[in-house]
Amino acid sequence: MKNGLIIAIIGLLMLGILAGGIWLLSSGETADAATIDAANQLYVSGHYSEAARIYEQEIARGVQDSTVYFNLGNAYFEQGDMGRAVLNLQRAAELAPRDPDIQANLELAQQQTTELFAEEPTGPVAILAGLTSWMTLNEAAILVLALWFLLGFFILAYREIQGPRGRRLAQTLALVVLILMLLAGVSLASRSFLLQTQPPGVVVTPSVAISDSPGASSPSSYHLTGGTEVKVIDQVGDWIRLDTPQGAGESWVPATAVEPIT
Amino acid sequence: MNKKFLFTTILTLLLLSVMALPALGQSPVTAEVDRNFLSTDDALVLMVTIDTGTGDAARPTLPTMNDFQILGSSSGTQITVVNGDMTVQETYSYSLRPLREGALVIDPVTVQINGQTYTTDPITVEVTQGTGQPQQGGSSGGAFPTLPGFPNLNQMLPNMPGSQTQQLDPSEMPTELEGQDYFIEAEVDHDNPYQGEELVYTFRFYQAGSLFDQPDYTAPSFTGFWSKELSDQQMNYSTEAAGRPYRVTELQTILVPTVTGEVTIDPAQLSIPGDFFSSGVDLQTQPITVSVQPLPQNAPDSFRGAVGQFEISAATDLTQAEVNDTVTMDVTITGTGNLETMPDPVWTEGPEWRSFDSKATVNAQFVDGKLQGSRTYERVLLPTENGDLVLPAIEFSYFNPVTGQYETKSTEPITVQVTGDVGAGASLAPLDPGTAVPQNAATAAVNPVLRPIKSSAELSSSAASALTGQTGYWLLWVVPLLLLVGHFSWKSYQQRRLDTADLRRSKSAAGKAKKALKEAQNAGLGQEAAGPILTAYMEEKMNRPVVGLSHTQLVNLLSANGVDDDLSRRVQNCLMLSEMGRYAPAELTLKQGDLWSETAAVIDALDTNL
Repeated sequence: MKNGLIIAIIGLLMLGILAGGIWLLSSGETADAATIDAANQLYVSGHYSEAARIYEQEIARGVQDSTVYFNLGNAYFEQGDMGRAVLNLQRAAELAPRDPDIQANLELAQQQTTELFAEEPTGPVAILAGLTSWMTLNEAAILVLALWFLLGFFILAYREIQGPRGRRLAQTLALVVLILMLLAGVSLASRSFLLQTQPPGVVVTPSVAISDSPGASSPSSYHLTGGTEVKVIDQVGDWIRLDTPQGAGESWVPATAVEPIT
Repeated sequence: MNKKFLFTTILTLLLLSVMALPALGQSPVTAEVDRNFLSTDDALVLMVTIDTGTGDAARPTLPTMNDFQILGSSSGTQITVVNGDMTVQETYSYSLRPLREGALVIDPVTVQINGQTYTTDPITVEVTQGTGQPQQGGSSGGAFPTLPGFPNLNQMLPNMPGSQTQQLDPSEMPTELEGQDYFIEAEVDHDNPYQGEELVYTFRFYQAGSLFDQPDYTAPSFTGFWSKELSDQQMNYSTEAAGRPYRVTELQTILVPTVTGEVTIDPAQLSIPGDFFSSGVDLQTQPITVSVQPLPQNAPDSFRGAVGQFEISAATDLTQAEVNDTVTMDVTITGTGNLETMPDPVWTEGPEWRSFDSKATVNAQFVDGKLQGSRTYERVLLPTENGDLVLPAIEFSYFNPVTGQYETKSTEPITVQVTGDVGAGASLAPLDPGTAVPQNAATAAVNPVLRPIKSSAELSSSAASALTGQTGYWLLWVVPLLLLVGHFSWKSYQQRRLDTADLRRSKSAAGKAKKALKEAQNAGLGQEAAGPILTAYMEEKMNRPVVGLSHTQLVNLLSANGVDDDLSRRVQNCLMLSEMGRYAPAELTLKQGDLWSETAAVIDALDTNL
C-alpha cells in the first residue's frame, strides 16, 4: 500500500514536470486573431498581395503557425508565385504534417513545378528518419523525452514493487519502453542530421540557371523553375550548391534564388 | 703569310665595319605614328619604342604639344631571350588629337638610358579640317588602333574610347601628385554637415603606369554614417600633371551622418598588384574628419528625422467604397535629401479606418552631387464605418540645412464616401473552429480544387525554434536521472538506518538479559523465568522471533548464525530446565543455583558467537 502510494506520487511528479516543461518550451508568439481576420478579408476580396504582406508581417514577429503559413502559401498561389507558394505550404506542412488541407494544396502547387531536383535520400539514415516523418520534429522530440520519463518511472516502480509478478511486469514494460525510446531517438537524430547536412529549400525566383561552378561567368546548362524543391549541400560566398540527381555534375545557383524551408 | 690571304682578310673586315656602322649609330629609341594623314576629328597613336638590354630606361619625356591634345597613354614591355641573352623592348603609346589643320610637327621625344640622352626624329603629319564630330572607335576615333605585335591598348584602357582630356585647374590638382606612377586621394564635398544631411565622399585614383591586373580597392568602413556607393556613377577621365598624362578613376559614395560631433572617415586603400618585374604597391588616403552638427532643438512634433528639401502629396485609388472594402492610399514625398534613410511620417487615420503597414519604395537618382527623387508609401486601409469618412491631412516636417530651419508641409485631407452595412464587419470575427473561410468566387472558378484559407479560429502557436535546440529541453532529460539517483540514495539511507538500529539493539541485548536475570533473582522468581529471558535475548540478538520454534528449528537457526553444537545444546538445556521449572518446580529447585549462572554463561557465550 505504502509502496503503491510512493509509485503514484513519483509518477504524478514526473508527469507534472514533463508536462510543465514541454508547455513552457513550446510556447511561442501567437498570431493576432484580429489581424489574421483582416488579412483573410483582404484575401477573400481578392487583395492577395496585401493579404500576403500582413501574413508575412505576423511571421516576421516570430509567429510560427501552420494556419498563417497555409494562408500565405494560398495567397502566393493565387498570385501565380509558385515558388513562394510551395515554400510556405511546405513550412505549413512542417508544422502540421497531418493536416489534409495543407497536403492537398501543397500537392496542387507542386504539380505546377518540377517537384524535386534531387534524389530522394536512401539508406538506413533515411529509413530511420522516416519512422517519425508523420509528426513534426518537435513532436518527435517530445515523444523521445516522454519515453525517457516513462522508462525512469518503470525503473523506479521495479525497485519499489515487492511482489515478483509486479516486478516482472515493470521490468517488461521498461524494456519495451527502452526499445521504443531508442527507435524514436535514432529517428529524431536521423531527421536532424539530414536537415543539417542537406537542408531543404525551394526556388523562389521564377527561373534560375544552374551553373557548373560558383560565379555567373560559368556556363548555364539547365534552368529550374520557381517552386522546385531542392536540397542545399554547400555554400561558397553568394552561391549555393544543390544536391543533384546522380550523374548530373555539380549544380550551383545564386543563394538569393533559394529560400530554406526550415 | 700569303699576301692574297691578307688582302682578303682586310677587305672582309672593312666590309663588316661598314655594315656595322649603321648598327653602331642606330638609336635604341624610336618614335612613329600609325597614320600621317588625318582630320581634326581623328586621333593618331604616337608610339615610342625603347630597346634596352637591361630595361634601365627612364620614361620618355614628351615635347610640348601645342598642336595636339593628349587623349591618353599606355605602356607595355616585350622581353625576348635568345641563347641566354635577354633583350627588353618598352613601348609607350600616346593618343593624340590634332587641334588645327595643316602640317603639324611632333617634336622629338627624349629618353634617358644609363645616363645618356637619346632623342627621336621629329614627325610631320598632315591634318585636314574635320566636321567637328570626333570619331568613336577604330583608328579614326578615340579608341586605340590594334597593331600587330603590340599590346591591345583598348583592352588595357577599356574606358578610353570617348573619354576626354580634362585639364584640371592647378589649384584643384593634388599637391602630392608629383609625377609618380600611381596616386590616390579622397575628399568630402563639405565637412560640416548636420546630422542626417547627406554629403558626398569622392575617391580618385590617378594612374600613369600600366596595370598588370585589376587593383584591389578597400573602401573605408564609414562608421558613424549611413553609406551608399554610387558604383554606376564611376567616372573615368584623363589629365596631366608634372608633365605626365594620367588616367583618373573617380568613385563617389553618399554618406549620411547618424551621429553628432567629430567623426573620422578611415583611409581608403588601394592595392596595386605587381607584375613579373616589379612588386605591388599599397596606397592609402588620408583620414578625413567631419564635424557633424546636431539638429536644432525646436523641432516640430511631426518631425521624424527628414533632412533636405521636400514636398508631400497623397491620393487614394477610390473616393467611394464599401465598408471593409480596401482603399489604397499612396503618400509620396519628393525632393532632395535623405530619402533612403528617413523615418516614416506620422500616420493620422482615425478609428474609423483600419490600416496596415506598408513598405516604402524609394526612387532616387544622384544629380549634381545630391540624391533626389521620391519616397512612396502604399497604405492599405479598411473603412469600418459608413458615411463620408475623412482621411486627415498628413503633416510632414523636415529640417532644411540650406535655411537652417525646420519646415512643415501637409497633404490635403481626402474624403471617401463609404456605404454598406456596418454589420458586415462581423465577418471579421473569428469563425467557429473548423469552418473554412469562403473562397472568393472568382478564385474558386480558376482553382476549384484549391482548399480555402483557414480562419483565425484555427490558429495555434508553436515554439519559434526547435525544441532540441533549447537548453531547457536537455535539462528535462536530467529529471528522471535525478529522480532515480534520489530514489537509490533514499533507499540506501533507510537501509543504513535499519542496520544501525539492529546493531544497537544487538549490542545491548546481553546487558539487558543479564540485568533481567538479576532482577528476576532479586524478585525471588523461580528459575522458570530464565527461559523467557534467554529467549528474549536471542530474539533481540538475531532480530527475529524465536518463540514457537521447535528444538530442531532452534538448533538450525543457531547453527546458521555461527553457534556450535555444544553451545546449542547448552541453550536447549537451559530452555528445557526452565520449562521443567514451570511444571515441576520442586525438581528444578535442586539445580537452582546452576540454572541462573548457566543461563548467564550461555548468554555470554552466545554474545561472542552471534
